[in-house]
Amino acid sequence: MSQFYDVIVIGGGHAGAEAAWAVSHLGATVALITLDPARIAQMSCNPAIGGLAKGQMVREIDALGGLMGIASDNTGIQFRMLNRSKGPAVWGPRTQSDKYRYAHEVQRLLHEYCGNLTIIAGEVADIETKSSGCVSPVLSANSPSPNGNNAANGSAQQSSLQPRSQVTAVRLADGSRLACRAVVVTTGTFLRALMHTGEAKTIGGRVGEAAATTLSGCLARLGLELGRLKTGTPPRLHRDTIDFSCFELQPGDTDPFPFSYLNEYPALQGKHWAPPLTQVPCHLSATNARVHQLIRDNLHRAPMYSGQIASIGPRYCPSLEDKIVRFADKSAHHIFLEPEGLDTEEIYCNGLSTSLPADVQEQIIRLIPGLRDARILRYGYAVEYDMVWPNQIRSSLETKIVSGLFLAGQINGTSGYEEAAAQGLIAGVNATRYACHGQLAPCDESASASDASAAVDYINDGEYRKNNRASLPNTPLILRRDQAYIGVLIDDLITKPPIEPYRMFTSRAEHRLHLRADNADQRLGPIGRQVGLVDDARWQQFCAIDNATQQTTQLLRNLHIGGGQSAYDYLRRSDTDWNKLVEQLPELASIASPVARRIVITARYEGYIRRQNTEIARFNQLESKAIPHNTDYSIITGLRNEAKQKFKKFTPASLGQALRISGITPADITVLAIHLSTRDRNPAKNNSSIT
Amino acid sequence: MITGDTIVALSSTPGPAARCIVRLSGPEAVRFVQQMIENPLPLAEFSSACRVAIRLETKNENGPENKSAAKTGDLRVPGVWLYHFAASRSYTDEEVIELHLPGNPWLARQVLDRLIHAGARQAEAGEFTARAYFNHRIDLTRAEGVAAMVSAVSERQRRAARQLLAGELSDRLRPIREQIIQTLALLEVGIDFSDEDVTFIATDRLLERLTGAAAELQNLIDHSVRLERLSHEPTIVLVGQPNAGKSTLMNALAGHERAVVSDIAGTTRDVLSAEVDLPAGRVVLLDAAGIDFDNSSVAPLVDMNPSAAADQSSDRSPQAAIERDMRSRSLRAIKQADVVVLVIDGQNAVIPAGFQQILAIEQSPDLIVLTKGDLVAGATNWPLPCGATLGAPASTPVLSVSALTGQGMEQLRHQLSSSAFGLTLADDVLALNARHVRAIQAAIHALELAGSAAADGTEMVALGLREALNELGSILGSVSPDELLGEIFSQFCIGK
Repeated sequence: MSQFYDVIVIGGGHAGAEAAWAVSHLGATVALITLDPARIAQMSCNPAIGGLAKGQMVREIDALGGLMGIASDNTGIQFRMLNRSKGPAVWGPRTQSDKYRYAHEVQRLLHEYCGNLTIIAGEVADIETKSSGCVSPVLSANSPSPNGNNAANGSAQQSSLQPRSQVTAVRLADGSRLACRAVVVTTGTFLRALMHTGEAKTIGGRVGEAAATTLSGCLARLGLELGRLKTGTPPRLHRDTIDFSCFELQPGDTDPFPFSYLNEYPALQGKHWAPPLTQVPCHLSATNARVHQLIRDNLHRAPMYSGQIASIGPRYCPSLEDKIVRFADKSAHHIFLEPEGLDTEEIYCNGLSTSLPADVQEQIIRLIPGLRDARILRYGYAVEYDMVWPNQIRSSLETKIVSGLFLAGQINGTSGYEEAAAQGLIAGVNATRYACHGQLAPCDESASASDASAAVDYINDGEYRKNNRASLPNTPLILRRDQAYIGVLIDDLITKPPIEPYRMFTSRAEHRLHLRADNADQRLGPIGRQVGLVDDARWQQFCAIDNATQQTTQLLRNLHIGGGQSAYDYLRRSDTDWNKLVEQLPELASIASPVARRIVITARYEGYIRRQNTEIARFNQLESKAIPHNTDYSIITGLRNEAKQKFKKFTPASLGQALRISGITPADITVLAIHLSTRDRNPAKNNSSIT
Repeated sequence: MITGDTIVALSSTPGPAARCIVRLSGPEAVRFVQQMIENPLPLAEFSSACRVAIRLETKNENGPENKSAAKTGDLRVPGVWLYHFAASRSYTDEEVIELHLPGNPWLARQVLDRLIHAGARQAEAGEFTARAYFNHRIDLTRAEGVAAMVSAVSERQRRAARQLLAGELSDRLRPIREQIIQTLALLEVGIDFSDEDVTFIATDRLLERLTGAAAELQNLIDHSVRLERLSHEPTIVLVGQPNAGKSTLMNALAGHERAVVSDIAGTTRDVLSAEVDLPAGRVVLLDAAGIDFDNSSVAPLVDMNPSAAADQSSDRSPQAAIERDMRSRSLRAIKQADVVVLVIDGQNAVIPAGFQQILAIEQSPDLIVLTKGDLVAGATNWPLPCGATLGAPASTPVLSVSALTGQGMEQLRHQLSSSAFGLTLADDVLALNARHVRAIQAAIHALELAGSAAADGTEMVALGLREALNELGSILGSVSPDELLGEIFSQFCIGK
């Protein structure tokens, strides 16, 4: 077995799988190290992919040539487009997945399509580094504090703007050593993981599984400041012990949308996609006053309230006990019963996330109509785990102080499979670029802009980078906030360290009308092609549908219906749709549905998008003003001390990013901008700093 | 502007006064002052206020040959009050020291020079306030208030500036913004958590909220005066047809013969001005040259560029050129005036057709005056035509006067006074600068767009609300998505 890899991915969750897929498809060698290879891409919590804002991210991952969309389509057992009553900008595709088939499908795709990938079972004991040549003080190995939630106070690492070491190898618990150029850490909930069910505490990242115990100490030794977060999961019930007649039926869509463009494009030739698996419904019910009283009576036994857990859980996904305490006036909360798969009797109780003791969980279930005789297969629990405060990473997801070390997924404080996979993809691409060049050029906001523009030339070449590693750029792939939810996600993480596990919402994206599920390929397809993850087959299909859309748009602009109005303008009205247009112009019936859909959505949003574009332009003005890496904030006169500390800690790449750091005000940016402009005029004054 | 060094300035009004105040701000303020006081105190004892004696080496700059060099030596100034404001409590967020000296401008100058010699820098205009702003002691509207206060020359201006300084604008805008944030939160919760068990906002309720917020913003503008207007004397322009009696009216108001008057239409060939004292203060009265609307095409009038007007006109005689030039001056005066008074011959009370067009383009008259009241039969109890029958907005006040008999003139003075000073800065009137007005108007526009998008979907309405928040953000600071989510999470039980 070869003992050298370009990239080593630690962890086999959704981030790890996506990272390994990306590295391998870019032609680099990659090892994926995981505690249990049989559990790669396991769904630890909700057996579902997508949803509002999350579904958009899955489409973006797919448009870039990622893994998640394909696996989701192949294993979905109920497809629903959320928010259908609203505009397409906020539609969110979602699927219930057969969680076992999903994991197997990802494993199959990795085996069959990733020739450069080696999967290794084991626990990583250490990440070895060597000094990167910069003079830097050696830090004492500060062990992570169990309650280290105070992101703002870390000072030990602040002095370092330059990487002080670089990754050389990974050592496993069994003593074996794997040399490498870059490492992507995707440890999910496994870092020093501790599970709570009532008073009972179990070490492990998932029921029946171990925890990664040594890696936390290793990361801390490298100089990274760790925090601790909490998340939870509800009980699973046995399907055959539930009286479903007491529940409201929630079926899937009759015309399911696929996540992957590879499944959408063939509609151009009239081949409409259908889910390969049998489709099943979900069931809906609610809690009641008796349940709430029971929980109030047992609150002192809930780890979140007894003081046993001090870490912060997510506000948007509260435990049942949280909901009852915080919203005392509500007499009922929804419960969704979701099947975990076709061949399993496990039913996921969405809405009943709890870490109350097992006996209380039993009583809660009994009090809900239809669940009186239900058998709990697995109790709900809360899990606490270590994470790395993400102000310590760059937009490339590389850590600032250890070059070649990339972090993705829950270790950066996020929640959710989609958020994890999105980071995995970006980390995989950037780790590969790093491995090819031994370093990455500074994260520069303008780099991503040139990525997009360069894509045009590249399309004309028809060149494919897959087997041409040397041609990979040495700049990181960075998506901007106006390009993708993935861009919003990473930018939010590095500018606002999460106080709770970070989940994507459409309201986080100021350019929401543009960041839609329908146009993810138009936004990111050319970038994915240029990155090297979009292969010829996908690219040709993308071009075909893009051409068809443009030609048809032109046709509609020239076609006139009654009153001198063009067919295109007709579609812009809110009281029209494609079918009404076809009634008037039957010759349009032959237009393929994906093309028609794209045109209708574009037409409907045109005026609004124009308005939003002026906002984007205003936004990009600040965004394009890069802050040099080596800026010494301590010498900026007039800058508040708090701002100096924040800038030192976050080392923002642009003025726009600097303004998004929490606690930074427009006045700070004014002072910083004045400093940068005088610095530009007098470069001699600043030549003492190291580049 | 450089920040971070120590600045010094005379902060009392220059010239003789009971006390002169020299103020320093910056890290070395204490050190510089310590160098010049008798028995310098250690920093710890530099308490908030103490009485000290200053020692000045009054070396004469002119050199030894000057006779006054004999005076060279230490000058001891007792009875100086020293106020020290630690950085944590000072206006600029820096060490601030104020020296209250006996009211002698020469002495103050000496102290200032001594401090500058020690290393302090003469502060630029407004620099103390700029530091307070950059150091987050005050927000932008307060800083603007200070700037306005510094340059205020009248009592009205000072009152307006004080309001800004007190953060009155921020205080009034904040509840409106809060209302917009809450409305947006209601929309966002419907978008991001549509599968949740929460009640969303109904369209009619939403529109009600949008129009409510827009109306409150409009109200804020309506009940405000422009800060810029306060910094000069208001101008009132009299416009009307030739021989409507504008010049006679002007002379009567000014109390002296400013304009040559005659019965010949078009006697006044240029814009004349006079300063007139009205009950609420002094105004500049302008008499725009008579515009013969019946005899001129409107287009050249509207076009403010005389050369373009000349191109369009076939008449290239010097006489015609003068006429055009006159008209364009008159139009400019109308455009720039604070109050437009339409003067109409009372014997023939109709607004000339051409004028209406100009009014529609530029502005409605603030007041209509019917002249020659003495010539109109029974003018004293003559039912005056309302503004609407004269083709102006119905609310436009109409007055009948006679400059000859003085009939109606007192009423006119009061009416002009309240039009010019209108909002006489009663307690609920805000003074806004152009930036404020622009931002608030843009916010109103965005709210209107949001309302009109209701049929197109909540995400489009949300776009308008976000634009409105961005505009108000230029006055109040921006709202981050996290704050919005916080609003949502505090109101709704989210999460399955």
